[in-house]
Amino acid sequence: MENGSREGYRLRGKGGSVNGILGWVLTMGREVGGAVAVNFIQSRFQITLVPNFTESNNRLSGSIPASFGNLTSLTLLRLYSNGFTGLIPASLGNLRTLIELDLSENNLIGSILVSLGNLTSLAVLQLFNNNLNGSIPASFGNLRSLTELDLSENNLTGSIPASLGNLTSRTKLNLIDNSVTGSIPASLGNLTSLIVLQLFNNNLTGSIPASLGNLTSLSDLNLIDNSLTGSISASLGNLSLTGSIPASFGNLTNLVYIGLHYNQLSDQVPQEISNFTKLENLQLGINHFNGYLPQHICKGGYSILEIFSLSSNHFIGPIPKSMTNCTSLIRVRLDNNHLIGNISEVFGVHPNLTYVNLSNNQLFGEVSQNWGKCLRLTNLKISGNKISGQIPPELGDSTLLQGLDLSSNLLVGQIPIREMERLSSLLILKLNDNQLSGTVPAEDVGLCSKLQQLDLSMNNLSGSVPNQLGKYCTNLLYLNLSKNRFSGSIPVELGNLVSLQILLDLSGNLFTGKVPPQLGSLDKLTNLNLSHNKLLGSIPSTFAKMLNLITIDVSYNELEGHLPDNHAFRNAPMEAFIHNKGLCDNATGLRPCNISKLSPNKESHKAILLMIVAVLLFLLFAFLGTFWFFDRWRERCLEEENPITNQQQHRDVFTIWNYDGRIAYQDLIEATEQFAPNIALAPEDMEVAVKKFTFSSSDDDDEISDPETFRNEIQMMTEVRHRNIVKLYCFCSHVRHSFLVYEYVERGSLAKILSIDEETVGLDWSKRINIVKELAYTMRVIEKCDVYSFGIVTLEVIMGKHPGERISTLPSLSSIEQNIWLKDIVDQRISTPTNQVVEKLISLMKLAFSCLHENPQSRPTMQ
Amino acid sequence: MAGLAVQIRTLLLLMFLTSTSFTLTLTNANVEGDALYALRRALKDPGNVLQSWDPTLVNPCTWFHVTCDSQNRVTRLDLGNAKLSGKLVPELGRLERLQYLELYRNNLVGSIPKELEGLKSLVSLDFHHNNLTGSIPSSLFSLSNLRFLRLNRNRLTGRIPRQLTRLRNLKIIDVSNNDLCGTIPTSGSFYKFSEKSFENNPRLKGPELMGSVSYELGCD
Repeated sequence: MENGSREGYRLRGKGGSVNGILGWVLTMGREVGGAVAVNFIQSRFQITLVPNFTESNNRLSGSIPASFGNLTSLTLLRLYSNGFTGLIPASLGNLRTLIELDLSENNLIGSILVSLGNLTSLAVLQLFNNNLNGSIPASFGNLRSLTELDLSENNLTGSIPASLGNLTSRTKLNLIDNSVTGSIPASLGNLTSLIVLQLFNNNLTGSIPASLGNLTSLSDLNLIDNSLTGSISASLGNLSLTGSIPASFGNLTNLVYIGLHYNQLSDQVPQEISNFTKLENLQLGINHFNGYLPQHICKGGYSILEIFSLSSNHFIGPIPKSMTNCTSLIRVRLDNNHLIGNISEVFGVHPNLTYVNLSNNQLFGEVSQNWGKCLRLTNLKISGNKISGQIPPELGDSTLLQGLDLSSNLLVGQIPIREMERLSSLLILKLNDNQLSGTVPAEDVGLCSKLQQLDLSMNNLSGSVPNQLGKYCTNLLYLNLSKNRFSGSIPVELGNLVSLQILLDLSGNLFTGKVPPQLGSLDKLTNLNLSHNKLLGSIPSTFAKMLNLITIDVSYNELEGHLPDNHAFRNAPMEAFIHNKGLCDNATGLRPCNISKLSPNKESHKAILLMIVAVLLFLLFAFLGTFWFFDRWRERCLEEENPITNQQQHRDVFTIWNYDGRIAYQDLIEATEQFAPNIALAPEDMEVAVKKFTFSSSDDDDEISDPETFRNEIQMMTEVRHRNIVKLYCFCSHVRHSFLVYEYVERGSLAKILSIDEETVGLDWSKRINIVKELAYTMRVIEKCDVYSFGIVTLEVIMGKHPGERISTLPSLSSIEQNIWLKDIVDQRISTPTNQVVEKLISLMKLAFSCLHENPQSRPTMQ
Repeated sequence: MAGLAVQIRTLLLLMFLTSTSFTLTLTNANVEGDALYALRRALKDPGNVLQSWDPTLVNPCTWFHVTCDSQNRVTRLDLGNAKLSGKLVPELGRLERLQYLELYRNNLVGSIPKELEGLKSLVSLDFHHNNLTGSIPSSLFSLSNLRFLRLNRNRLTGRIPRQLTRLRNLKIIDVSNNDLCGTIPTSGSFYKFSEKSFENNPRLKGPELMGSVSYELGCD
């Protein structure tokens, strides 16, 4: 505790030397580094040994010499603010003439001498700020002349002796910061001259004795931070239960300071407090008080009330209207009560008001523009109420404002950023959990320079986040923009906010684009939430640098790729990553980035598989949903554009944009009547060829195919693109129906045409030769295709039918005989070829036969 | 009977413990306010950033730049970039629940009080960019929760206390741009720190070679 009055009586005396008496060189001057005064006033001997703080910090140390006890005519001994250690010498009990003993602010130990109770002349006893222990001697009850007793800031225990009530001339009793227990003795009510009673920060219990109502001179009553219980109406109020003593609170009209903070006091606060015209400081916070606030506080129109601190109780009813008159207010705390009523006009203009907290009540009405006229206001908190209307731009006039918290109310309209820009001292701005709308304009430069906490979450704010936020708010520790409708990309400048430490929360917005790698520079950040946006791409690897990160959430985005190598990501629960496009990681429960690196561990294997299935299912649904949406959307567009083409567009099921596997499959099954062989597949708008494979013998009619062939064909066809090769639209690999869907070419297959007599007429020799040429040209593209089939098809084209098993080789005949034989086997249904054509046919057939050579090595290559 | 006695004893002990902790909570609020006020008195504050630090308030939790937990114990002190000058005070070591001590970019002088060892919950100690002198107190090794130690851009002298290698949670250390001497410890948590953490200390010789170069060398 500071004692400002000390300066006043330091260095009071000027006296001669008392060399030798105390074993020190006691002269005026700097020799002992302190001021020394030894004085004789009216033959009374006084000693003051106090450091001269203005000269140096040189303090006396060691123990207090017992020889002081020999100075039996000593009337004043001041040894404060030194470094004296050890016990208080017992000899001091001899100094019967002593009027003032001040040993405060040293390092004295041990208990307080009982013999000090013998110093019956003592008026002032100051022992504060030492390490004294034990209890307060009951013998102090003998110090009948004592006016000031200060034992604060020691380790005193035990209870307050009832005998202290004998000291009727007492004006000041301070026991601040000890560990005194028990209840306040009722006898203290006898100290009718008492002006100051400070028992702050002890372990006092029980109720405040009713007798304290007699202390009509009392100015400062400080019982803060004890465990006092019960009502103050019985003690300080006029409702004395006995009725014999009018222990009326109303009598304590001299009270300037009432401190009852941090106790367990209950019941109502006497309304008489309103009558205390000298009251400057009323602190009743953190108790169990209920009932109404003093309803007529400052009612006289003039008030000296400065501190009105009644937070964390159970007060009900309105804030008194008379508060408007409290022009001298400095600090108002009414937070955490059950106050109700309209606050729009409760407060007026309070030129000295610096701190206001009305949070967590049920107040309604609007934020008064009068707050802007409280020019010394540094803190305005009205969160957790039902305040409506807009934020008054006039708040910007209160330029010393450092904390503004209007969160969790019903505020609407825009944030008056332009006006608030003048709040250049602002450290904390919390407007979260309201219904604020509009954009955050880029002008908020001044507002930002010192800002440490900015919370705009849970509003309806929209537009993009201005880059300036990242450029100028470089002292931000906490930035929460979550649950709004902010859009656009996350400004890369946010990466400049290296001071961000507590939180960066951008979740629940409409942010698009990639996550800026610059955010990785936020190496002090502990909590990062980017979830519930539309962020794309991968999480930047720079996030590995965020060493302080403890929690992370990127769920509900469209992110993909590797997780960064970061401890927080490793330890995050799965929920932090769900609902993304494809995040992967080899260490966490996410799907591994590289399947070949699958862990052999069965459990994790299973988990991974489950994960993959879940992700795939999700993707499938997302895919289907997206295409359904696009389809519908496109359909609508087309409908508007050209309603007639709609029908045709709709049926083009195999184009990628329209593709829907289920519909296509169903259509095909229906169209082919379950693949009935004699049904020519010709849907209304689109013709396709379906090639069916059967792998099991369930259907007797079908010949059994090799699954390998099926797969080979798919693989081959997906790699080939040629004008003479039909396009593979899609395939279905299913236990029941495995089939390939090809582009439908009019007139069916070559084999079919060749088998029908009427059709072959149109297919003359020159066409057939061209077919073979095209075939050769086509087959060169398909390297994997063997020359054998080329030979067969060539023969088939020329012979008009499959050559069959018998003609697998060219008979070993002479060349003339061969020519005759060849002429015999060519298709007889069309006109006999001319000689020129025969030459060509024969060379083709020879080539074809060479392709059918028994030994594959002897066959030519397609090249 | 014995069981009952034990139960009663346990109950009494419990009651004692609860009441003690309750008292401690209440008392500490004041101790912490006093500790911070001691700092305020030791500092020059031309920007008036400490204006709200009123020692007559029951706790420091409504002071700006101070953050408390639900029990009104101080957890953060955010005074970076605050134009403060003057000395640090040993009383700061009484903030037992302080996690973040952020006093970077000021004009603090004098030494780092060894009493900061009392900050048992400290996660971040950031004094970078000041004018601190003296040596890094070896007592800091007892800050077992410390993750970030930033003392760069001061005028610190002496060796890097080897005891700091026992700070198992240390993620970042930056003592660059000082006047430290001796060698750079490489054991314990220091194995992972790059030389960048130690650069621009002209008298600081390279990383300590385990077993071959005496730690005592090269600091004259």
